Formats: sequence, C-alpha cells, structure tokens
Amino acid sequence: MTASNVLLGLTLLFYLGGAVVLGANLFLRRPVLLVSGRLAAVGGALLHAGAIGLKCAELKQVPFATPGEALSALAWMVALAYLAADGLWRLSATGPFALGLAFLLTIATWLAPDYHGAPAPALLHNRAISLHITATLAAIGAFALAFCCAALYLIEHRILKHKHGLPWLKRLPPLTTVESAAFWLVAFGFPLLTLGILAGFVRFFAGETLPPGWWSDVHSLLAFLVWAVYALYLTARLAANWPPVCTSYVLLVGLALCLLLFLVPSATHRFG
Amino acid sequence: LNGRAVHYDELPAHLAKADIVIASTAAPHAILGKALVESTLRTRRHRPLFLIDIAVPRDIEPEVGDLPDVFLYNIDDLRAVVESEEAERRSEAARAEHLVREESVAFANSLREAHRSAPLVSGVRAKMDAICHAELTRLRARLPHISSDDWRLIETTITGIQNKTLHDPTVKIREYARDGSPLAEEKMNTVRELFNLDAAADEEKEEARP
Repeated sequence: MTASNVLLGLTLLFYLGGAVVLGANLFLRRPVLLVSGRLAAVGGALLHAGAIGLKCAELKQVPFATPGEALSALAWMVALAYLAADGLWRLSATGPFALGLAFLLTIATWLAPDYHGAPAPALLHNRAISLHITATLAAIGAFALAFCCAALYLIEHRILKHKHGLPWLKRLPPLTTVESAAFWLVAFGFPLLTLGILAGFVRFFAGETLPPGWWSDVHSLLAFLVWAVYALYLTARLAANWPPVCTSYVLLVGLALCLLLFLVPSATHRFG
Repeated sequence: LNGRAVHYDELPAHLAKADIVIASTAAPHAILGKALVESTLRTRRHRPLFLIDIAVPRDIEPEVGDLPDVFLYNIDDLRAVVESEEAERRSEAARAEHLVREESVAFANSLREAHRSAPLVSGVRAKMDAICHAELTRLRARLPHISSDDWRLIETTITGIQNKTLHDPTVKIREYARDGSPLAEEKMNTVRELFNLDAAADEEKEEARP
C-alpha cells in the first residue's frame, strides 16, 4: 500500500468521524463535540491534501487523471467549502451532510478501479483542460455547500411556519445566515463554473482531437443546464426578488444536476 | 431598548424596517391586516418578519401568517414553545445539579485531605526548615569572608535541595490523607515517627508553657 493510499484511508476515518460527531452535536449540543468535529474536518482536509499531493508525486501527473481521482479532488473541494463556510458563517450544522458527502465521494474514490494507478490521458496535459476540470470541481464543491444551506433554510422555514420542532431552531444557524451563505457560495461557484465551461470551449475551438458533435453531447448539454440553473438562481435572487423558499429549491435541483453530470455516460466527454 | 414612539399612520414605513414586531394593544379589532403586511413585504426583499401578537383580542389577522417570509406567533404559540422548552430546561437543570453535586463532593474531599495532611506536611517542612536554618547559621559563622551574593546562592541551593527532597513525601502524605483508610493512617503515623514529629511537638509545647 502506497503512502498516498494510507493517507486516503486516514482521510476517510476523519471525514466519517467529523460527520458523526457533528451530527451528534446537533442532538446533544456539547462544545467538546463541536470542537472535535471541527478538528476532524480540518484534519481530514489536511490529510486529503497530503494524499492528493503524494499521489501526484508518485504518478507525476495531475490529481484528476482518472474518474476516481476526480472524485477524490471533488471530495476535497467539498471539505474545503465546508471549512470555509463554517469559518465564515459558523455553519457547523451543515457538517454532517458536507463531511458525509466528502466521505462517500472518498469511498467511491477508494473503490474506483482506476484510482490506484492509471496513466493520465494525453488530453489532460493541456492547460485549458486542467483549468476546465479544476474550476468545475471547485464550483461543484461550493454548490454542494449551497445545497446544504438551501436544505437547512427549507427545514427551518418549515419549522417556523408549522411551529413544530421549534426547540430544534436553537441547534441550527439563523434563517438569514443560511440564506445569505447559500447566495455567497453560489456567487463564488458560478464564476468558477463559467470559467470551467469557457476553458472547455477554448479547448474545443483550439483542439484537433475532439470528435465532431462534442457540443451536442449529453454531458455538455447537462453542464450548460447546470450553468443555466445557477444563473437562474442568481437572477432570481438579485433581480427578480423571488422568495428564498423558491430559490432554495433551485439550489436543490442544481446540485442534483451536478451529481447527474458525474453519472451520465458520455461517448465523447470522458477520460482517456 | 432605545424605543421611540411613532404615529400610527407611520406604521407601514416602520414595519418595512422591523425584523420583529410585538403587537400588544387594547384595540377591539385587528390593527395589522394581510394587505398592509403584504405591501410591506415588497420593500423588504423577502427579509423574514417575525410578528408576535400577545394581545387579547388579537391585533394581527391570522391570515398574515400565510404570507411568505412572515412568521406569526400568538400567545398560545408562545405558551406551547415555553412548554416544549420546559422539558429540556428540566433535564439541563438536572445535569447542572449533578455537576454541582460532583464538584461539591470533590471540594469536600480536598478540604478533608487538606485538614488531615496539613499538620503533617507543615510539621515535616518546619523540621527541615529548622535544620537548614541551623546549619546555615553555623556555616555562616565558619565562613565569614563569603560575599552576600555567594551567600544568597548557597541559601538558594539549600532551599532548592530541601524543596526537591520534600516534594515526593508531600505528595505521598496528601495521597494517604485522601485515602483515609486505616493503612493510610498507619503510613502517616510512620512518617510522623520517621521525622520524630511528636517529640518536636512536645518540645514546642514545653517551650510555649509559661
């Protein structure tokens, strides 16, 4: 077992531990649980950075040469987005979901047959493609946290409207905080997604190796749809004055489409 | 609260700025209707508005609660909140009581330990102090040429040796005192005997007698 795999195994434990401890903190509200959960999240992100860095050094290639590695990078982005959101807005309540998602993505990485050493496709040596993937993964990391915030908003809104489970509100961040955090996360992720798509375009127009019809590929169309959904969110939030309940649903749909991006098989838009 | 009275006609303008509104008038009918709140919401850009109606009869129309981003609570809702909180408060109070009980037991134990160990520890230390003091006085008489700086160094060294030597016995004596068993009591008596403290105490009593 290589050093990077050992670090990835430890990362798994830290993400799972952080998710469980922060979940327990939601019920028990103990400072020791909150601090332990936060430390586990920081530890997990640091170990993951080490695992990705060592993997790059071992294979001497970019950290997203295979779908498995891309999943690992995405899990790391989700953990980083969580740490940033918790640091900025005290959103530890999103920890169980965010770290749980990071854990599941890292499990998927571990189980991916191509994670444990596959040569990077020649296409990935292109800078525009590297930028395309990095920016897109960072954007999806931010969108995952925005999803958590939107879900929290809807839960809190429901509790306040129906007046059932009101004591739970003490355990959750304020309504306006989660709504504004979701907005800023999308405001951060959307330009990155745009950059990622533009970088893909640049590669498309400048490249010779991509097959014709690439632009009408399901994966590409879905990526444009994701972009349109988040553009709709920003427009609705900033200009159209939609109620936050509606914009929160848009964010839920947005992340579902992002995950679909990973699952939809694509003939032209793939690794290798 | 830095409150300020405003005219009733200015209510819509001030409603747009508020986050929490507590209504408590003696009006016989509702003074805050759905149409008024709805018109206010447009300028609030969906900032949540909490309306708390503690008046009887109600000051706010119940339909206002159906509006998006408006959360209407009346006196019955607040009572339900208080009741649901009560159980949690009771369990927290029980936890706090348990903590206080634990700490008071620990404090009582430490007091008991101090009460038992203090005479022995201070006796041992006093004996060592007396020996060191006597030896240093004798040494000073034999070495009159030593400078005050050097003398201070000798005193510091002797005190350091004394403290380090007595550290472990002091810790052990406190352990025995905390234990409180007959065996521990016997060990404390042994320490007393080893340092011949009873004789020293008798001497002190003799000296103190007029």
